[in-house]
Amino acid sequence: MRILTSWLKEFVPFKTPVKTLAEDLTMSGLEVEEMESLHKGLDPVVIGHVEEITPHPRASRLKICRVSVGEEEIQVICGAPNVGKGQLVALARPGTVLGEGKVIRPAKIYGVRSGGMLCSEEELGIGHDSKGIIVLDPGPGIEPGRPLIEALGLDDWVLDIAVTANRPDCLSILGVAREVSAIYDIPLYRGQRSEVRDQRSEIRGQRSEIPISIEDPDLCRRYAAAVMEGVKVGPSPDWLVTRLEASGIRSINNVVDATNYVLIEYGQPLHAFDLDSLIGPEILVRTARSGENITTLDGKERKLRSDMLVIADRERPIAIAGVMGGAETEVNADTGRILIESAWFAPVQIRRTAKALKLITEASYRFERGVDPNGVLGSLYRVTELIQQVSGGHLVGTIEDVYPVPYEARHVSLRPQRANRLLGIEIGSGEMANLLKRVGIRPTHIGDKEIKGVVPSYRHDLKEEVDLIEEIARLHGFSNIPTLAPRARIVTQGPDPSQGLIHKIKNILMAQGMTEAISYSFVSPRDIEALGLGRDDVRTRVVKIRNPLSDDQSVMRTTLIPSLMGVVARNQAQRNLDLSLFELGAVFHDMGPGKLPHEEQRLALLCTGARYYPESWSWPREQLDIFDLKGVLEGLFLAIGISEWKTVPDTPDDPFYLLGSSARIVWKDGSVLGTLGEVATDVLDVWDINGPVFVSDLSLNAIQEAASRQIRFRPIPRYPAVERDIAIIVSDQVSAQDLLNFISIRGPKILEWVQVFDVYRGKTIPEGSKSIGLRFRYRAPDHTLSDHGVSKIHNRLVRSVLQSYKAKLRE
Amino acid sequence: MRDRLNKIKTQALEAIESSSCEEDLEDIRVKVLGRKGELTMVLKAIGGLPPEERPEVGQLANRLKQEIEQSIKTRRNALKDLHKRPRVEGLDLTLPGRRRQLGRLHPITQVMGEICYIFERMGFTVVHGPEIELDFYNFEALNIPPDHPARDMQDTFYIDDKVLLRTHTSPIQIRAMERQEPPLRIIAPGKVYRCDSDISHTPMFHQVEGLMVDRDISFAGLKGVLTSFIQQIFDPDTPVRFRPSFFPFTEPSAEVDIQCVMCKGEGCRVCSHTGWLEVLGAGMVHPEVFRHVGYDTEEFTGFAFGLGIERIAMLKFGIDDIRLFYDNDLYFLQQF
Repeated sequence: MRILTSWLKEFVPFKTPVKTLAEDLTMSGLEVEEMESLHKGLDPVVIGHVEEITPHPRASRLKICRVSVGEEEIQVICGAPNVGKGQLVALARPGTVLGEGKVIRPAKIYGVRSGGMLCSEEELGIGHDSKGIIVLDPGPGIEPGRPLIEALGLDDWVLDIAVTANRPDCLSILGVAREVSAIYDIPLYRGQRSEVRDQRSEIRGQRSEIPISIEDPDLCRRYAAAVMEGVKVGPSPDWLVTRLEASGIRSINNVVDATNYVLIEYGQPLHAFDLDSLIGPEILVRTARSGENITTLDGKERKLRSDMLVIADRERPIAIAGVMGGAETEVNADTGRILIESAWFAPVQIRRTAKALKLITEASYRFERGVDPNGVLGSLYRVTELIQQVSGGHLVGTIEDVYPVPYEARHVSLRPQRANRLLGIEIGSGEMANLLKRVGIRPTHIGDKEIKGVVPSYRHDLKEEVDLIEEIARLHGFSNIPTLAPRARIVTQGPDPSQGLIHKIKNILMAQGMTEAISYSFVSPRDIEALGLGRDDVRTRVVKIRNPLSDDQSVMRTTLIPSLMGVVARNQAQRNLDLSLFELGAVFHDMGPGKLPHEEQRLALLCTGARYYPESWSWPREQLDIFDLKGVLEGLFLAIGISEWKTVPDTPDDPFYLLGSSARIVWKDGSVLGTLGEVATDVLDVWDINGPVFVSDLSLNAIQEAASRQIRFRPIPRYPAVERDIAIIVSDQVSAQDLLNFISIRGPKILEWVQVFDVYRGKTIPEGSKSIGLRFRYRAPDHTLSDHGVSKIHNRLVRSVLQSYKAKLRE
Repeated sequence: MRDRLNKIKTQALEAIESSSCEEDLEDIRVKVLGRKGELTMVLKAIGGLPPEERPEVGQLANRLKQEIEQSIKTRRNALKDLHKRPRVEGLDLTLPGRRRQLGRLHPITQVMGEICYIFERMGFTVVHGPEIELDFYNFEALNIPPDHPARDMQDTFYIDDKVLLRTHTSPIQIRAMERQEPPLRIIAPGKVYRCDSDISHTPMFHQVEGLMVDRDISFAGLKGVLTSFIQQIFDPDTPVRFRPSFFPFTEPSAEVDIQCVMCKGEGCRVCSHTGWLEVLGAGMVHPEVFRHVGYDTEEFTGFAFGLGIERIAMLKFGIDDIRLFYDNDLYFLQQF
């Protein structure tokens, strides 16, 4: 809401400088987001005293003026006929911005310097006199050097106020004036036109004879109309245009401008119909009939639904109630008779209509938040006055006011003790009652235990005790409420168990050089399709957003893979080629309409590019492979206590992996923790990614199940270990995991571990076989092993391996 | 005598020159200069020489003693340096080291962790809630009925009429209160969604929600907890102000501003020349919210607050475009 301070001053006599006013409004709940001077560009304009005038040597019409601006003298070239020695003038110094953005700069005119410009009223945009420069009468405050706008008292500001949804009463000059009155405890101007009251008594008389009826008083509580004759539609006077424009409203014609002026001033939306284009004429407030259409003032034809409220004449809708008028009954250049509407429509009704039509107007914005039911007539009276003033014409008969169910004042009560306890303050009930009075609550009872009062009709937000406590808090001042440590019982509830695990996982991955990405939870449906998942795969059950920002963000991700693909694609485009990334976040699977989707946390890892980076003069330039990624997983599992897991080759459900290059990670109880593998080339192509890219996709739930929080200390070995290496040639069909498992199970107690130290295929190895180098470490907890003893045990173990796997020792 | 001295000299100096370690040198010193050393013996024997020879021989012997001592010292230093001879000649230590790429946590994770940690120290417990929510939890239970203009405060992504992407972390409040009776002290971080996208809005962002309910929780306590939080997450001297605002689920409601970290309150572009930056929304829990979860509104009071993590991160790190958080450009991620 843009509030012009000069306008505000007509309602409430505040004396605070505008900066302080803005701050005080902000600190009491009306946040001033921006302050803008109405004469923004005129700051450098000062009063000057013309000391001396000499003719310009090269231009007979120009004069060289020596102008004093207090301590300094400035030479200015002036062509105005009325300039004279000894005058007090308006000197625009460099930096002044005149209308249409013209900026004053120091210049040379026919070879003579000019340090500014002497201006006329029109040039400064503060009046219409363009015949000559401004010549000021001497007087108090009219001193050389003083800023002109300040000296003339013309400073005017627009305060842009963010009015919260609970305070529709502040969507007007009057409303903000009431706040100013409450903040400073100064009364509004009375007797003038500041108090909007029902003026019923003053305007009783003959009726205008235009029948008005309301079909459903729940939707339209009140409908008042005034008829005016002899109106001359034309342009509005400048003061009116200036104020409307400062308020952010475009001038249309004097009649429409007058209704908008009162809208801004009192917050009551008004509408003027061209009475002669009404059929009947009569006014019926009713819901739209099926099939009815209306062309609104913005020239658009709109289909009406039967739940929309319209204003109709005898035959057709002539306005969408509370939203926008119709084009056919619009006030136009030939209009002479008008009917002005001032009404109160039900907020929910207006909101639904405006939403359905996607048509939010100054009127609908206020109606859906709630206007003052008791302000309807006052505003109407005010607008007839204003129209009479700016476009002639006069009121015919009386103002018609259909008000079937009058507003009943709301009574509320407050326990001062409760207010003090909730806020943490100590103020007496008398003081509280005074604060409440300042916001217009009329006390009916003031006691130590309870204060009762009547809420003004414009404050729909004051319904219960806590609403009054809020009023007390903000008028008392939030900054006057102490800042204390709360006294409360200790809460013994522990955190979500996943909390600690997630923290640990992220830190371990980071320690292994992985960088965390966070992607949008929504992806393109094509991203999911690109994975080539089976029809029954749960990951095809996407949750669709009904109103997405774009098709690319229209479904919730069912897996993290597309998210990471997106990250790789963007980074590769930026030439970041060496990537070790992870993301931990939710994926979503649709569970049917009206039901919450299944939401699951997953962890995805990705590696691509160089094994060693950042690139260095001495790193080997090697591309990483799947075992780099698997190593990260092993490190992770080790650190969070997942043991006894195995890699099961192939991932039939995950066609986005390259064939033969992927595996499931299975825990000892058979549950699948996740998968890892190399991403298939056709998938990479969808994202325009250069491979190879390796990913792993894990279920956080499964990991949490498998992770052990227990750490068991093992004594540090006291006796030396003995190691033995062998290389065996086995069929390609035999997996390293099988071999190692076999050895672990068959191995003697003193076998500390066995490791693969080499894998080789090549000339010396028969086709279809491979050589595997195994290193065994033996150690006894209680004595030093003898070489002979170890050999015996080792050879027995090797023999059983060779037998079981039809392997040969490689010589 | 002179010959003897010459002999001692030649032998000793040769031995010193060819010695290869500290121990050799010590042996030589003992052999020549020790209590029964060759030169010591000569010096002792001087007394037996004819008086006219004594000064000359004495002088010679003493000079030799100094010469040998000096020579041992020089050799000792030389031997020390010998042990430090470079393995590689011409090593250029100005070459860069073999730095491994560090892993980083996303700045949002870091700031979120920091925020939660501060509140956990004040006895708040971290809880979570679903990102796709029922209208009831996201709006209705928070005193935002259907067709209420307050719904305009948040542009909502809908799945269907009843299901939506949560627009704030506040529904977690409701779920926590449904589960548990007071006292309650929770902090709920998470992703939230609003259909909005420009330099200062992304359709997904992160919030942290806080809630404290017990007997006698007051607005003064809210100010206490949040002021402490702000001074921990920013600077201990950061000026803080609480000003009235509106949220349907709290009353009185407050926006919490800090003095602009860029201009220190002078007024700049970042703070729209107000000198203040909004960082938090807060307030006393509205009785209507307590009624929805069946809490006794007379017995219990509480406060709730919510803040945007991106905003805090942007202020802390001086990031000027919120979209950078979700581009996941390594050049960005590696800076934190």
